[in-house]
Amino acid sequence: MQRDKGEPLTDLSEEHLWTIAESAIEDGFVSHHFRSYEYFIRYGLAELVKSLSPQEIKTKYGTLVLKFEDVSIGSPRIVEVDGMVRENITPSECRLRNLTYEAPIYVKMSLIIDGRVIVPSEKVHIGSIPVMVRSSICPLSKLTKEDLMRIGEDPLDPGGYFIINGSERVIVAIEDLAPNRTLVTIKEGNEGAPQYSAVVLSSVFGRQSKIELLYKPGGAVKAFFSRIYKGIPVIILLRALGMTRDEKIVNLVSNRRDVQELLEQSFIEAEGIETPQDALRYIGNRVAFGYAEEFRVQRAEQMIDTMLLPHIGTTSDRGCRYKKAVYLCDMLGRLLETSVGLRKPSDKDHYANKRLKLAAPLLMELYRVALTRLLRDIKYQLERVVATRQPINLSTFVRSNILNNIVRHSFATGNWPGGRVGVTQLLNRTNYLATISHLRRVQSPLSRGQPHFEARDLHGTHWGRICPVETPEGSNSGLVKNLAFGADVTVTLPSGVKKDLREKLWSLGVISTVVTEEEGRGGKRRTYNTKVYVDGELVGFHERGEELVRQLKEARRNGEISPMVSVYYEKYEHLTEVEVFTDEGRVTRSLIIVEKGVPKISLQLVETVKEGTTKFRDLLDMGVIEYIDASEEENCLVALTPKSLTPSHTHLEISPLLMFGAVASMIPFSDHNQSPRNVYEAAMAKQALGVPALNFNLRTDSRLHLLIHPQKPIVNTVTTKLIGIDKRPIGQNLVVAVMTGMGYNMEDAIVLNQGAVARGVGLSMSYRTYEVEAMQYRGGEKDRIIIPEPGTRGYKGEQYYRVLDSDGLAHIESEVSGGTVIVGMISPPRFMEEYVRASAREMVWRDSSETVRPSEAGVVDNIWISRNEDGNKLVKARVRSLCFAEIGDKFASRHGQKGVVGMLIPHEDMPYTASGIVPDLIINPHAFPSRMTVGQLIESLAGKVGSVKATDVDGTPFIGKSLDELRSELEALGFRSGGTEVMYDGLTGRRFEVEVYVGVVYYQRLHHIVRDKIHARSRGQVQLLTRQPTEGRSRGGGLKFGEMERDCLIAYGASYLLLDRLLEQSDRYTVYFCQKCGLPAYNDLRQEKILCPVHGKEGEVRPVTLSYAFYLLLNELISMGIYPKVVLEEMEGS
Amino acid sequence: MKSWRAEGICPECGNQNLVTDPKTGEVSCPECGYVVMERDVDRGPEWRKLEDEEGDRSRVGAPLSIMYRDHGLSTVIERVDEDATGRKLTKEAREKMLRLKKLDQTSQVNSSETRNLQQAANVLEIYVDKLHFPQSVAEMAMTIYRKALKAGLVRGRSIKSIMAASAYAACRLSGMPRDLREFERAYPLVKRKTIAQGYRLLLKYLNIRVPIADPAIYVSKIASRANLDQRTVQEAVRLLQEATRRGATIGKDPVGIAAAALYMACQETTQNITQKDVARAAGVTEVTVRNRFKGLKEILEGEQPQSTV
Repeated sequence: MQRDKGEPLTDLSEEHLWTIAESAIEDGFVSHHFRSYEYFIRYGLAELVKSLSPQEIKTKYGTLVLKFEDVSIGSPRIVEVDGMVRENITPSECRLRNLTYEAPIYVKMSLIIDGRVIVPSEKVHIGSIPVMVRSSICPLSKLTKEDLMRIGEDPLDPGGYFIINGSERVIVAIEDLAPNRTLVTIKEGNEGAPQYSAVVLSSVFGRQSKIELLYKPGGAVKAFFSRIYKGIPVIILLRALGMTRDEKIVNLVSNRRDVQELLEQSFIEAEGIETPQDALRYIGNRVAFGYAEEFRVQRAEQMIDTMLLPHIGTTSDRGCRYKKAVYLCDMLGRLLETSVGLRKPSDKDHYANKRLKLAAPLLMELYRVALTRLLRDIKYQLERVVATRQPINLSTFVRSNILNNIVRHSFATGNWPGGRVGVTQLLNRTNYLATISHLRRVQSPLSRGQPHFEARDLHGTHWGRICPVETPEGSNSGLVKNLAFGADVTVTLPSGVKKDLREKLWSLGVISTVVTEEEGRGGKRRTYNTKVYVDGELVGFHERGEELVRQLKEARRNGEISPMVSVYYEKYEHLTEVEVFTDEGRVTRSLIIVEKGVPKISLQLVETVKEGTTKFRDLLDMGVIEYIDASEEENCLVALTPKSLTPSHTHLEISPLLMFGAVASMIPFSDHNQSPRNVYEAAMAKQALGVPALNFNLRTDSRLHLLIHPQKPIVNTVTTKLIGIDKRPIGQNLVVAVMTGMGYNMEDAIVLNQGAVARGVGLSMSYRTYEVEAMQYRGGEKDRIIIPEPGTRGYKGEQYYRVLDSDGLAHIESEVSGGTVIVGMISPPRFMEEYVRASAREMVWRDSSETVRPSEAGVVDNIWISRNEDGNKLVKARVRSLCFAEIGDKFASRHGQKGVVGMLIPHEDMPYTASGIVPDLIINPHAFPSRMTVGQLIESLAGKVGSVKATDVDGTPFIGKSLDELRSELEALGFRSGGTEVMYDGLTGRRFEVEVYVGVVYYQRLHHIVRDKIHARSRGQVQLLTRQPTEGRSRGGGLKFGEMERDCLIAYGASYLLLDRLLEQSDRYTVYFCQKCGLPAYNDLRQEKILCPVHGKEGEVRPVTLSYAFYLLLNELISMGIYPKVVLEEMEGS
Repeated sequence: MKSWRAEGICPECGNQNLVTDPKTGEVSCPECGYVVMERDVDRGPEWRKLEDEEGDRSRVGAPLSIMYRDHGLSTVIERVDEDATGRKLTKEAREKMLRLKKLDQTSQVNSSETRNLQQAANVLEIYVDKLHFPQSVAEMAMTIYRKALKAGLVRGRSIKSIMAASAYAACRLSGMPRDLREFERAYPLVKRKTIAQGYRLLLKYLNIRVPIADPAIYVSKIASRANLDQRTVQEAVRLLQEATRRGATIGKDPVGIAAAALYMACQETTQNITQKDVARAAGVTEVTVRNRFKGLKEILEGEQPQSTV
């Protein structure tokens, strides 16, 4: 240890600690994704496959045994239509050609029939796995910056997502209740009496099974699991598992007499069912009622082996059942002890009881389902083959498409087996910050419809794990979260490491539960006051818990056990518990270890970190820093700053800034804002235009915005550099005056300087990419990309094909507007069933050209022609347009102060200062008092200092430059320390009576642009079903004249206007009705007459003008067999 | 009374090319300017805001697919033991439904024809999987098979052989290079010769006209297996075009010729590769490569293209 005792500890400053914090993030922002994915690739998948081996197939011709060993994953590749296999594909090619970036999975399989080896160990391709971009199996992870740029990648792109059919998809972390742990809750039973319930969500290899123990005070404890809905007495279940000695059960449940006595009723209920056989028969009667006895017992055994606590084991041996019994007893103990108040019920919102599901557990679920489906098919095929001959190889019977289809479909839609939706999402590429934030998102599976107030609240254990600022408003508030900077997520320890850990426990004097059983039989009795758990499972006992914890932590700091392991210690009045956690999905944060009030980090060490000779990983190995999860943190006392260290502290916070997420940490002076303002900004920063990625010119996202003159913020936080906002900025530094803007900045509007806009304030380029695929049809015909000829069905008129070159594609750099064809294409007529070769003359080709969206215009920027996986020609055409800021566009500062442009004022008419500075933007002073965004006012000062001094100014919350410093610096520069200046009216030249607050603030242009929203309609298309005007801007729809608007006209008495809106301009229609029967008549084309459906020619038909929607209703009623009679009356005066 | 809609003719001037303007919703005549119809119906996908009724907006199910014996249109009894209200079924009802389900299932695959198609579809799936057919080729193969079945060509032959032949024919028709050796490797239960027999049968009775296989389409595949670069591929394709022009490829196995052309191209781009390697990559014998190579060389180096035919 490099600790220098002579050094006073206060020498460590916050800046020093920030150096450590920086090194903590050296792995990037998405390392949690990589680690989880790589675990799955390296161990998870192999373990899953192993858990499915061997497979037995019983047929008439013998028993086939299919064995799997050795799973390997190749490098990303694609099979072209001509059968060519290419291994040099790049993500950027996948994006362009709508391919899936995936790698093949091979499994070594062997087949044994009746003990004879038929196929010895054959390497079979069973399917593919999508490759996480920049993970270890992605070639990109090994390339240099220059190589990355050469193959069209942004060197700063974080990776961590997948490319499925050309679109980038992220697996969003799911926050779930911790599996394999006992959670005791109090439920409100009937008649208001409390009920106690202990629940375990057992989960292994993506399979889940729940067991619940329910206790009503005074009654028996019942167990509910799998198909047992009514519950069985838990004692019977224990006996079925082979635990027949009542004394043993009682002692395992609790060491307190009063708790043990609560079991009395449970034992009474289980009377008469004493042996395991009796108990199994009892369970069998519940699950397989009405079958033969032998079968009932068999089912019962199968159930307790595979459905009960499967994470402990699924085999039927005695040891496994004994472990389950021990687990159940422990659950029972916790349940009863809670009921008498010895323990508190579990806090479901405590982060110790939460786990994040990342790629590994989610892929495990998906691949388990996909592999079972594949296996079913293999079995089916083998069964059929063995009937006639012996299979020589296995690869013929493995249809990799079965696996691929399931996996690809799930990834492409986000629909996971088990009904979970939205597991994968389209990666947000609005700007770089939005991308990073998306990759660090955490989603709670709780429905957003219900209140779940507690689940939405910020919990104490969120500190340093979940960003307290960044969460959406509204229905998803508090359910969608973001990882804090300092947070990390654990992955499963490889099974070998887990075994070592147990060995370590035994060597530290833990007595295994199995051993205590034998001791008990031998008659020896010893009491241990400490229970030892590993991942929620009681594994043994110890005499001195505190000592064990100390030794375990020391072993971890020495590197003897993995740093991802956490140790938690809890003392109750009757016993102590030591819980060791190794499982995946725990959110940890790194803290500096403190011993006797002295942090283990020295100034010299900080220097070496600064130089880069010591990495964060080294600090971990040296035992200077450790990962602490939410449960272990309960035993820690963490000092916030080095100054506040006392001897009772166990840890020191690296930096308070690490509690923020990526977005919140870039808000300068956020510690001076009212908290909701920071929340608003965190949401808005993700909508700001900026530079989404350096390879924007090669990207074919359907929509992409680019800020043309992006600037790095003058006032930044220490994290802005770290995230890369300096290199992929999301706004511009504007001179902002706080004053009224001639009435044009009322109600949160802003006034922009027209000169500034002309010089590039808010100037952006927006791109839209159109996609056309020339499909091949069954008849052998293909879509053709050419200029359609007049006479083609659906021909749009010559002027629309103006920009097409002879190849059917628009000429690059030609100007296009709504309706203009950019890719000319014709499709062959559709055939219904058979394969017909009609002569060319009989065929009527349809025009299926791609046109520019109505209400959009621009210049054809680029066209890419490629072939997709099916060998079809794929054309992507991108249209670009330049967007100057205009009235109605949305802008926002970094403090939740948003507004639309209310007016553009010519430069010469804008107010100016004595020195001739003209503001770029005028914000109304009313924006500040009630919102209390003091941060923006300070930023304004800091921006002014930075602009004059030509330096960056540190606005980091808590540790940035103080207001006093800024004021004195401003004063030294010859400005007023308050930030106000004398200003003159640009129109009259008169001096304003008050001084105006002017400074430099970083502004973002948000992607809500008027030109994408402006819309009006006078005439146009109607809907098929109701014949009412279409809806929505994209289809030239009408604006809804709704119920409340209708009420206004009625109240006003404007009946003709009402008629016009609701009938004439909507779905006016004329139908003939028969006066005799009141039914709509029909037009008989052959007789050229209008006939009544009832009276025929004798009907008296009259034309009626009505709403088509009403006519539709009448017809729907008639179709249901209801007779709607319309009684007609002659209109007056007609 | 025929409407303009049926004929697509302007009632004023008789112009045949009426134009629809989606912006105004009007169908008009570009010649005389007559507005034939207002308020045209929007034929795009139905799109309504059904925020509270979540679920998809489509009114239809999956499209018909020729890949299924029933075109994907059959109705099956679900395996859920709940009634419409979500209550569990009684034991008797559950057993009854199970029986009905089984009966229903067996009754669906009753005729020999549907059973036949079911089996054929399974075989086709294997080829699709192993040989990486695009969906369109698979559908074409199924169409051919259905025709063969109707024409009675499958009787007396195995389902898989005719299915394999149909798949091969579909490949040839759509210009996807898959040779018979690959078919055999993908599914060894059907031998190359059987497929060839079936294929000739299909050509004869179903009147399928197949374009002559162009050796050039095999080049890139062989090249990728033999690890040859793009330059060699281009050179080989150039050589083959020349050879085809001179008629040297007629009547020869296109794969063999492609392999020979690649070998020849390798010599010109000075890539070191043996005939054996090329032969292995192409799946033909060394002898074939050598003979085709000789033939190619003679023709390409000889000045009189006519004499060699």
